[in-house]
Amino acid sequence: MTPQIVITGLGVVSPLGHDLDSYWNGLLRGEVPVRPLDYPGTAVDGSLTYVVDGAPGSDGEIGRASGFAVEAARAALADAGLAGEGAEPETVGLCVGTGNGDSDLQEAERDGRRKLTGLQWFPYGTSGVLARELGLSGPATTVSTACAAGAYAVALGAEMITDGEADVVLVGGTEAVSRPAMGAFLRLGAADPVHCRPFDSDRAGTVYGEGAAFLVLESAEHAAARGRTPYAAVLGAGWSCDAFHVTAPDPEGVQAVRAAHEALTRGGVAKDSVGAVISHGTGTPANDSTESRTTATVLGGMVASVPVAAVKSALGHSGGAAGAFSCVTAALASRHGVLPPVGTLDRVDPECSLRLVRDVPESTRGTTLLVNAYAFGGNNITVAIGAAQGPGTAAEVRA
Amino acid sequence: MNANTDVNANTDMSAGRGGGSGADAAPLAAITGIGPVSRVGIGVAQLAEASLPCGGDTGSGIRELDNFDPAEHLGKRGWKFLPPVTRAALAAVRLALADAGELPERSPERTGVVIGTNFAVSEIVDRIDRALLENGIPGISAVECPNFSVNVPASQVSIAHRMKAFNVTLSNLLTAGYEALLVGGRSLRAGRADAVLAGAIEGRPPAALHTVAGTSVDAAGACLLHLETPQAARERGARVYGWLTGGARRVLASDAGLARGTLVSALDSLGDVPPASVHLCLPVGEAEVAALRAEEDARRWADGCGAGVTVTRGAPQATATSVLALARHLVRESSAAPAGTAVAAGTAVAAGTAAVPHGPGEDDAVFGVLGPQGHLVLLRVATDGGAA
Repeated sequence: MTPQIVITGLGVVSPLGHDLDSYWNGLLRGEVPVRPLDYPGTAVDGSLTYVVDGAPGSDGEIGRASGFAVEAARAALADAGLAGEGAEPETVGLCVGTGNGDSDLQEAERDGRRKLTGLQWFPYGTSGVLARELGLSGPATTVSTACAAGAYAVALGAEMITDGEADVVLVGGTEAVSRPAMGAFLRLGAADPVHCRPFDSDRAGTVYGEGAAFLVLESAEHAAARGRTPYAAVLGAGWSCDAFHVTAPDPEGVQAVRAAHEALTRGGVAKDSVGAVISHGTGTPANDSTESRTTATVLGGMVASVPVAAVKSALGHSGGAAGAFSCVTAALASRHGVLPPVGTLDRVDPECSLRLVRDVPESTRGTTLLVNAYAFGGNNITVAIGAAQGPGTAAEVRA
Repeated sequence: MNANTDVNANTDMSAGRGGGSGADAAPLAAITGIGPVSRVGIGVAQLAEASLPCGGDTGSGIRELDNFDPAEHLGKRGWKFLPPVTRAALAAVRLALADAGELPERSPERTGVVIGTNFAVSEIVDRIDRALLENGIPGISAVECPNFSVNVPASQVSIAHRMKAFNVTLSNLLTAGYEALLVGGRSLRAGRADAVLAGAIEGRPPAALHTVAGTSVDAAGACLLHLETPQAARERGARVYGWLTGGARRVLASDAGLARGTLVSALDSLGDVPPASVHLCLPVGEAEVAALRAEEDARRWADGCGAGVTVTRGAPQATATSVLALARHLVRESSAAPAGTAVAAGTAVAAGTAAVPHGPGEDDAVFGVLGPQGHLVLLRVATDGGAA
């Protein structure tokens, strides 16, 4: 029998703050911490961005994205009660999602601010940095499925446990401001000049964000043996690919719908248990109009009653970290039973029939939350996150 | 994930840590097609003749993929605006599909893509950033913009061939190709697809790759394998190069004693029956000390169980080097195998047979790759086809 995978620790480095209380309360208050980027002497200087203050976790020898990851992963381990404990290093896995990795080091070399040493020339080294910094020797992988990478990291990390490869897995995503990536977005006219406005009539593109979000996964049995009460369970994940266009989603959305259905099927949960959706919600006209339709299709007759969140209004679009932020948010929403509002929502796109949470938090309606993440190349994933079952869980206490 | 999943899953979860032992678990995948596009060789015939798995040229610098003519593989149109890495990837898919023989008509939703890469877009990102520094946002080529994302070349594979099951890009330094094969195999077992194109593609690397890969490196290359569920391969009587039966991933610590213990436990995890051979791909240069130590530890382990060891040093094709080495081994084994020891094309084997496809350990090989950050990926592959 495949074990149930539960979430027992969370950690973030975010524009809302670097501890869970600041993060969750900032989301619940609908904060929009966007501000001009400080990148003097370059064309992206002054671009509106959801920025992380400083370079937490980095001493300058590793890039900002790796630093964010170290900080968030340490916090997640501590939250799970695993910091400093004697978990066998080989039994703890790592699964990191990132789009641009430690781009900042190469940027500094290109504009003459520094010379690179060691492996600093390689941008996707975060999983190796984490293994070294945390003393881990289990499986460690890096997934770079663009803006869906963080959610894929959660799914692939869960499978490390079901495949018997690890007992505990740190999963998450990390992304830092990347000058060439921001430049490409600006060149394509894909950036909103105001702030990130998912599902708003006036949305005009996405807004870059940065940060890291990590979760500790383990089997329910393993968590119970440690006496831990999970936030929630990773029930299942559905993967698909539009195979339609490099940058645009397939407007038909057939594969996005399939990913959601497959997440439910793999999770063994009925559609009527869906009580909330954490949307991908980027603020781009194409994503949000397609996601409005596909999510409405998935929810069917429940579309008017199931609340939908769009956390990029508060976090910006943190690329390869975004899906992990959504999974962290789903875990918190599952524990607290509420969904944060879309802080930037003014006028809902009239073509969007979803019940977007606005102004104040709203209660979730059922035990399962769907997390959507989509990406360049038409890479789709939906992760079903829900109440954990079994010893020590809230479900058992209620029973 | 929950237990009650019924998405065409082969739910054999009997494997121990490591995700599937070599000799006593059902295979994850049948390897039924190989598509190399590299200076090492283009197509399986050239790959089989290659003198060294990673090229063997001496000298220094970045070597162009000057033996590859896209028009020969992709036709006259449709590829000229694509980056070289994408051209190589698309040709590799075509070669792998052609090599796999006649395939059944599958729903697009039943074929997936998992690709490892380190440098698919490095050159493009560098160009975008330098253009921005020089001429601001307007200086960036709009045509080139979408290609800044490292998953785009893999996505082009899905778009070109309507492969909709999933599309995943992995990026650990030098090891992502083997990881892609393992993730592809496990995705088949999980029922996410019936077939997967898996392997590695690489674009022009930064010059600093020399510090861990050797004095000369290649500007582009790809090697993709066509993986199928064992059942699908048997049902269509496919020629099977090898059976991916399991794998293990670890990170070796800088401490020698810890690294030895981790390496040995990873090798042990691949099954109770030892393999006949171990084939390692190891970094050089700045990573050489750790690589030599890992080689020594692996040789000691292999000596203990009577397995032979071969080593490929350096990684001129970055994360594609190890995939090319594995592919070359399989192609050579296949061409050397006496009649009847491989499942010949057109030879139907009983559908749904769940038997272990080979005698334990007889022709099993372990393929391993070590990255400069200590990432270790081991794959266990049986090469004596469906003799059972």
